[in-house]
Amino acid sequence: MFSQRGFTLIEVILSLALTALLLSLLSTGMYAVMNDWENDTSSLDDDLDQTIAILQLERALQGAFPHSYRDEESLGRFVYFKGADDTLSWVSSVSPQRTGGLTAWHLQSVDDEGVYLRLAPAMSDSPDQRLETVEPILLIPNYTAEFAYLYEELDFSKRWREDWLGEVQQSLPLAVSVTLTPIDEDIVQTGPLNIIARIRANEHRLLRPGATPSSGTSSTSGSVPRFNTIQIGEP
Amino acid sequence: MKHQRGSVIIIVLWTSILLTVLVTVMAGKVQLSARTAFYNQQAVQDLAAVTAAMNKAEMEILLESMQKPIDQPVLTDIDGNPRESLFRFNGQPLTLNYPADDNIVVRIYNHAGKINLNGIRGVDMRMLIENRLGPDFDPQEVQELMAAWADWTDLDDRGQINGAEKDYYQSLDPPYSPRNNSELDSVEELRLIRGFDELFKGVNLDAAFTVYGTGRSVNLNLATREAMQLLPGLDDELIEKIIFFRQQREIRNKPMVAEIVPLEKYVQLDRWIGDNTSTVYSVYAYPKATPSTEQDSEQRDPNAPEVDPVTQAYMEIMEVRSYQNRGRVYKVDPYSRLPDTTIAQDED
Repeated sequence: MFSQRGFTLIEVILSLALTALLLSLLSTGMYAVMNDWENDTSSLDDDLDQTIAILQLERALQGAFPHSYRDEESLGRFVYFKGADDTLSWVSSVSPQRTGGLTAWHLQSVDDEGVYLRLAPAMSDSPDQRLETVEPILLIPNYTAEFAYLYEELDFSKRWREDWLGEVQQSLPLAVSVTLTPIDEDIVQTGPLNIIARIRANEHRLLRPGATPSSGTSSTSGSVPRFNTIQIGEP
Repeated sequence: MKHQRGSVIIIVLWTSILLTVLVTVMAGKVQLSARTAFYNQQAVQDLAAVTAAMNKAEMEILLESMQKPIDQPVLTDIDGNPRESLFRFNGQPLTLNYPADDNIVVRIYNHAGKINLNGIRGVDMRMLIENRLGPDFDPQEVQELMAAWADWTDLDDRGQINGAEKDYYQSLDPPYSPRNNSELDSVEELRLIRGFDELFKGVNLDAAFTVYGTGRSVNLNLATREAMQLLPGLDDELIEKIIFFRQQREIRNKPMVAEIVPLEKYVQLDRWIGDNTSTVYSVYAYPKATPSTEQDSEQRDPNAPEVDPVTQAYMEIMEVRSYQNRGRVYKVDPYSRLPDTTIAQDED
């Protein structure tokens, strides 16, 4: 009536082997999927963070303000803007905390790490000292930044240069370009990113461009930049 | 045997549940990134539209300094007198000659409608402070504020009696140095002076003051609400009356002001007002607020003044001296606070 038939050893081994095979296949599949998913999620989050960071940077550069300060030694009044090819400090009307008043921004590109940001209130003097005391934040990891500054030549052609000192030029560049290059192509798969922000408020209300005291160092690049450019002729 | 077959369906069910969960979560992620991309795109479009509106507003100001075409119809006020077209730069939403995007609101403020901080006389500053402190001010407090103001704007580091010079500001956190120059860089700098942050708490300084131009008086045709609130002799009721009056016609001379403002108040106000205009303008542009939902409009009182809910805008301060040169931009603030834009209503 009732046939109770056991399994043979081979059957058991075979079934176990098959199960193990199936399970391992399934788990590797799952693992791959989970891994991908994890990657996607974190890279999406990173992308979102970086998009916001880049957007803020762009706005802050557009909102650059020709902030002036008094030099303690010479008592001269200078425009604050310090641009080199790997660091940049400027004063902007944009502040991430939405505090009133002007904010000084300082960007520094550190090889193998990323781009660091410092923020300090601009107040009514040179914000250099306050910027130094601030703990830097790693704003854009795994990228190096390179800055360039746009000016206009006497013949109206526009050129980029690698440095811009507000105290020498007494004005701001026409635009700032930030090129973000990934340090390791394997980690970050996008190519270099480029931010070009036009600065509309180039000149201080009172300080005339180029009107520098003798203490100012001579122009670093060979050509003499022409300022006041967006305008058609000077009043 | 039958029991064992049932296990297949359980496995299938579990797998499908697992897969559904996975797919849902992934779909959520995709949706999030799609939405981010959408908003980014919209933001870029808005910025482009705002930038375009800025250039058109600059054009509008340039056009203003040109001769009007002969055949251009003359705008008249309710009495039939021609309206001064320059006075439309008092912050009302504008339709430009070269129209900006439909979706963008443009407001232009002439700086003759603000109180000029640079070159303000000591007496005037004192009056402003006393007016702000209210009728029962403490003379000692006024004197301290005046001394702080004097120390901030004088060229040296020697403090006055009860004043505040470098040693005081260096003891603050974070430490800073006073301007020591009569020309302030920006209006917001006022808050850095000892006691002034407290004094002007809650005031939109950018709307009330200017540091550009040389005019010393405020033109009531162009004045912002914020500036008028600080002027001695004006209270909220009078301000609404003035704004309502200028919506209909111009304030051509001081006797016309004296008709609105009672004499005892007018005496205080007289020295502050004038018919000057400035070549400096604050231009605000922002995307129109999306129309409120139906429920909102039902609740709203149809007689209530129309309120523009937007309080933040892209702003540029520019100076346009003549139509031969393009404007000079002094300040760009992508997240600027709009002055009070409420329209005045007739109370009588």
